[in-house]
Amino acid sequence: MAIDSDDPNAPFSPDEGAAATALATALESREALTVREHDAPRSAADAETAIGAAAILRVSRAQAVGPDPHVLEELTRDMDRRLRPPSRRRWWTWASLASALTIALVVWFRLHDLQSTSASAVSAANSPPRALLLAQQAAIQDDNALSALDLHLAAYRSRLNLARIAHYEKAP
Amino acid sequence: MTRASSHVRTLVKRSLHSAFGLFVVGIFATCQSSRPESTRWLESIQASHRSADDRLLSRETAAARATLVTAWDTPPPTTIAAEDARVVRQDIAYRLARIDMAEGRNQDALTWARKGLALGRNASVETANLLIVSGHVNQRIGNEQQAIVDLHDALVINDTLLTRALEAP
Repeated sequence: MAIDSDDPNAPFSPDEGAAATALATALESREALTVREHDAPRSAADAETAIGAAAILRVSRAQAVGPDPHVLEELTRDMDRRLRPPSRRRWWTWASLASALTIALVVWFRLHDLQSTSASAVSAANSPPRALLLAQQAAIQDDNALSALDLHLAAYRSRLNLARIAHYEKAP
Repeated sequence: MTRASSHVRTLVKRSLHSAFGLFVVGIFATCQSSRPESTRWLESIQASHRSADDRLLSRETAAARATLVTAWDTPPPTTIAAEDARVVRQDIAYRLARIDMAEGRNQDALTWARKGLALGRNASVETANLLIVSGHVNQRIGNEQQAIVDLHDALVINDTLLTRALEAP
């Protein structure tokens, strides 16, 4: 492509105009595909494309280096990037992933919790002492022996409650 | 312009990540905080028993009874094993039945014994205690047949527990 003038303010030559139009058309057709595919209007894209192409040509002319194909390619790539369909991983992808993870965590913790608390804290080590059981036997036969049973129970109750508290504190 | 919007996007993305992280930590903390509920409940029951012991020593029977009624009315957390919740509550019911029995309120004593037994029966000290109180109160009010049944059931449990205790090393 010939450079017609060194004056950056000079109007486009027919060559420059044709190049800009060709580039704009190419980008427009790509944009049209994008719009059709994603149903998103891009009204400013045409004007941006034409202005971008003309600006590159104008700069190239001002620097008297000609419209470098690499520069045009870069412009095309840039416009292509701008017109690229938006990422398919939209916000709801993250939201659904987060929800699924949260539900999984809650279920896991709940199951873990149930497993750890379903076992009673009363172990063989905390079985009732013989003295208590004998006092209980006496209380079955005579209600006057209930006071003696209560004394044994007070000590057993205290020991058992402490064992339970320790058990639930240790639970993972 | 593109740079600025990229910065904004990065900022929004990081904020979302942080919010999600906090959300997960919150869920974790909620799940974990349910665990000390068991110990808190057990500690409150333990404190109620101690308070009732002190009141009974100073002959404040009504205050002791009220303390134990409050303990009975405090529902156990869901994180505690059902067996533990049952025996702890049966023990409270036994003490309330004993107080009412000692005060001569036989019907109230019987009501507490029945409430305790309604939680379930098994070969435990607590179940046997409730049957003993129920048996003696039934004897007092003339329900001889029921008294014999209750005291016999208590004797069977006591025998089972004694056999286990004697077999243990």
